[in-house]
Amino acid sequence: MTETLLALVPEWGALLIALTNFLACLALPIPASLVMLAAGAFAAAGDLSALPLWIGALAGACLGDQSGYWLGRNLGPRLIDRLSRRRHTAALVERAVTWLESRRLPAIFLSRWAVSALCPYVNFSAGAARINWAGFTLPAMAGTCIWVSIYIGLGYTFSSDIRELGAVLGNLAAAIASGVVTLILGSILWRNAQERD
Amino acid sequence: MIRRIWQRNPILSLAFLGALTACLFFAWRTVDMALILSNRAEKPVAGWMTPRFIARSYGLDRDDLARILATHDRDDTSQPLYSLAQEHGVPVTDLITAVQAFVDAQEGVE
Repeated sequence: MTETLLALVPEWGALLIALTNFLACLALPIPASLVMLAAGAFAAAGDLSALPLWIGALAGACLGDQSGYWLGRNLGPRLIDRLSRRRHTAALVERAVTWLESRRLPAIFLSRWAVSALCPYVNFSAGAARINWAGFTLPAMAGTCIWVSIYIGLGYTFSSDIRELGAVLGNLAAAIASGVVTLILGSILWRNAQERD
Repeated sequence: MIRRIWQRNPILSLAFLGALTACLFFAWRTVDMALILSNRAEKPVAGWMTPRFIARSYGLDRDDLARILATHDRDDTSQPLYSLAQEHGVPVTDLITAVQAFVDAQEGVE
């Protein structure tokens, strides 16, 4: 599948990169970062021009983020209601919502690029927690600009090694994301254990 | 303390262990892939590559490559080897083999 996707990049250009970013932002297992690396590499070779690629990548990712946010906003409250029916989970849900609200800016901004594997879930949660639209969209767009520029830029610079570079970055992204989840879960467990019965 | 954590939140504790395992696994894979990337001596030609990409990556002359791929009569070749092979009605492996042979010959000269 990866080979086919890579072969489509020089022919479909910005449209393909927009579509893969859109789908990846909705948590579908699409190798969007590899496609962006490839697009950067083809731009370096002269097959594609860089600006439309950058705009396409940004547009696709932003549309995906917005879709996730609005899905969360429409479906999230029902899910939260259901989870809140049990006393134990209600406390956890309330804590999670408060946590997200108090760390809104870093959570949204960093989940675009530094911890990009968590991006779809942050989109949905931000919608479900009813974080206001501009408060979500501005840090999300700023972070997405960085994400798109890093990947297209790396593809442009290290054009002949994109497949190997894609493998390194993909694993690094997964390691960072699971590391952040470990830290968050660890701190919740620690705090819960220290509370009195 | 560990028993207390486990007794209070068994599911969250399992999720924590799972995340920790995943983190260590992917960190190890990252290092492994980075070592492969830095030690790799050669990379094979693949069907998704375009002539311009191949010329740039392997330091080949674009005109020589165009002669091998029979694209010297066209200006625009932003097509991967897959679709060039389809156009010429030949299997893509033929094109890959021809280009790879040219790359190897070029490396032999250098």
